[in-house]
Amino acid sequence: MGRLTNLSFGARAVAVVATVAAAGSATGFSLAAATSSNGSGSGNSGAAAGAPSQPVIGSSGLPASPTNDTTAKFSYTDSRPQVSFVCSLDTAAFTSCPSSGISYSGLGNATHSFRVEAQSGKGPTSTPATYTWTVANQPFTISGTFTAPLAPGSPAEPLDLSITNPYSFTMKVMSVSVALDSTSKAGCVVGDNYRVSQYTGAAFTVPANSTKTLGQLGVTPLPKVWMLDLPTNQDVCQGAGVKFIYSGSAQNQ
Amino acid sequence: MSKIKNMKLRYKIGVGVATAGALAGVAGGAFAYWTAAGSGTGSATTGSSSPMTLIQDTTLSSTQLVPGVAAQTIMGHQYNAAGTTEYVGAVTPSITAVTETPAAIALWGDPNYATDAGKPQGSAGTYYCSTADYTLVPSSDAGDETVGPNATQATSSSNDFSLGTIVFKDLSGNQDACKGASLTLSFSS
Repeated sequence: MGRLTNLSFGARAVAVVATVAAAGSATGFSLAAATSSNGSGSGNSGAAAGAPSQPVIGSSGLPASPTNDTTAKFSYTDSRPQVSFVCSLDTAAFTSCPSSGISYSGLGNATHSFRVEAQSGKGPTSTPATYTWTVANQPFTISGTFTAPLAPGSPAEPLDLSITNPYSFTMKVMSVSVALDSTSKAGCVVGDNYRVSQYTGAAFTVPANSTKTLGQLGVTPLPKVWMLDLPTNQDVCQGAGVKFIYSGSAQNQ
Repeated sequence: MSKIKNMKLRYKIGVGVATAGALAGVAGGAFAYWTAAGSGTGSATTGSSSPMTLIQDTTLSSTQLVPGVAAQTIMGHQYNAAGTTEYVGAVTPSITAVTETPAAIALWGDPNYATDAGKPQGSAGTYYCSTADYTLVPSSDAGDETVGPNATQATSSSNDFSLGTIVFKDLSGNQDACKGASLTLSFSS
């Protein structure tokens, strides 16, 4: 949950819901993934008679969506001078917010919604202007266990990695790599006895909030693992566990 | 723990469409460029010794192990008693025993008794037939053989593979102690 800064508290008048005709035009914005709304924010089905026009959220400095940034700053204006503003983040109640703008920090990994309403004096509030964006700053997860027999001279077998997309949007995986880390037995040197081949294919997508194996995604060639057949005795590696380190990078589509 | 990095923002301003009766006015657009790192760990387990058996298919005749005859290839296949698929790496053959005929033992001594003295000097500096009379060479084509769990690899031209080669050395000394001798071969991988 985000934390409000520069917030001055004040009473918020209860808007009287009424159906009105269009109150005029306004300037606004939208983002490719983020959404903004003039006149369709939750909590109000319309502005009361005499309410200020819907405020406009400034486009400068808006958080992208998705974004790694856990902070957000909003500015807003209204066509009617001398109005005050009330703001809300996600499900929080509307509270007074400075006309100079408001900042939030410590935002969690989620889709957030910022709403601002204009108010003249203690009169009714306007229709809210809304901006929705997604914070995604945690890493995605790569996992996988190599289950094929691993013995000296064993053929290279595929390692079908699983990719978990924790985000609420489709993730485009740009790279995946497998590194040999260590073995569980002293004397069985991982770099001397084992080899991996890397995934060298094109970028691929993983649906939102899902876990898919490379095989399920039709991604080839899969990374492969094998054990070398050395002229020296490799008995020390019998039963040894081999640890892999996975890494990758992704971006939004 | 990996972390998110290199976030870049690019804004692209466009022109929206005002809809009659609505409050939507000029709209803009922007593209967000977001990156994330992925991480994780995994594991594999190296197999332990399993009761894989190499079965020798080639039986060498007495005419194949005589001085001056080229090396003979020993073919074989596998039996896998393990519950998992197993592989055979490079095979190393060796001679674990040389058994002379009774007549040769009487004449040249028993290779199983190194102190069997009083016999004429045999080949390779011994009084009897020994492993020194033979040369074994590991196979170069083994190492990628696979057998499923609890299965015997069928004997066929495609499954059989070389376990190595053996040749009887043509030494300058008397090698008569090796006439009719039996060799016990073993293979390890």
